[in-house]
Amino acid sequence: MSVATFEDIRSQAEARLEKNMKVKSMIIDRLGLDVEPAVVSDNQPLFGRGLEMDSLDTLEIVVMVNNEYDVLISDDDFEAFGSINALVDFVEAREV
Amino acid sequence: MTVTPEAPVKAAGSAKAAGSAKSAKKKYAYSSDDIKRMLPHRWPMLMIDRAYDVVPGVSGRGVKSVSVNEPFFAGHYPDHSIMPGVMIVEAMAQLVAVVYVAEIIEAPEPPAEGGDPSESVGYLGSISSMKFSRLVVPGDQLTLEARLGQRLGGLRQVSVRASVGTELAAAGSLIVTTGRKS
Repeated sequence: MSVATFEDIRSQAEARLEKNMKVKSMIIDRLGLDVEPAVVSDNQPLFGRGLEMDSLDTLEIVVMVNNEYDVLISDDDFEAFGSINALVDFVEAREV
Repeated sequence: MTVTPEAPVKAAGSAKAAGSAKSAKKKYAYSSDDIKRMLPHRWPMLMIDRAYDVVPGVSGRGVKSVSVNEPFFAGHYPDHSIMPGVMIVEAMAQLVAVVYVAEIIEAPEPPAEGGDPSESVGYLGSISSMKFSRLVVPGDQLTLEARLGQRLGGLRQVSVRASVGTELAAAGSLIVTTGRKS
């Protein structure tokens, strides 16, 4: 059994941060939001306070995720919209 | 196996199933009288004359013949008739409604008698992107195309195009609501 080294863990964490940042940029770009990706935190809610997304924006994100990662989000997958982290977790669990 | 030809289906009195191949989805055509039973729109806002190649709930094509008698030409513009871009979008959205209402009326078990399918026509939720690449003027015949995409709750993403002959007039993507839950 192999044990992950400090370097492995660090590179995984960096890859994840990079992915979160990419998703933030894509959402901001797609929805035409007036914020910098860097000021959006990973655990900030997407609805209500936070990014103030509504149901139309949600469908835009469903389409975006499908185009970019080939991952389908359906009506039952509301956990995917909790936060940026939740969305990226959802994508990573289903990505091929 | 044969698939329905791409050419417009001749105006038929009633909807006819064109494709018969088992693997291909059935395609339907609707005359303007059929469309009036499917959509609540009426003059001067009924912006689609015919629909064809309709795969219920999936995709379809339609025709809108643009006449100089369209009421909007009176003011857009008095000396220079061009069809407003938003009216092209309206025509596209009405084709989208035909495609999803077709899913209701062509279902193997149609809804109980008395139900009006046009009541399921919803609203335009978003013009997410749209690009207009050609002026549309009296005498043009718009060929409309719509492909329904992903859904989430009562919302549906759609890709739409309108062309005149071989020239693209407008293309983009919309979000529509299916149903009238405000």
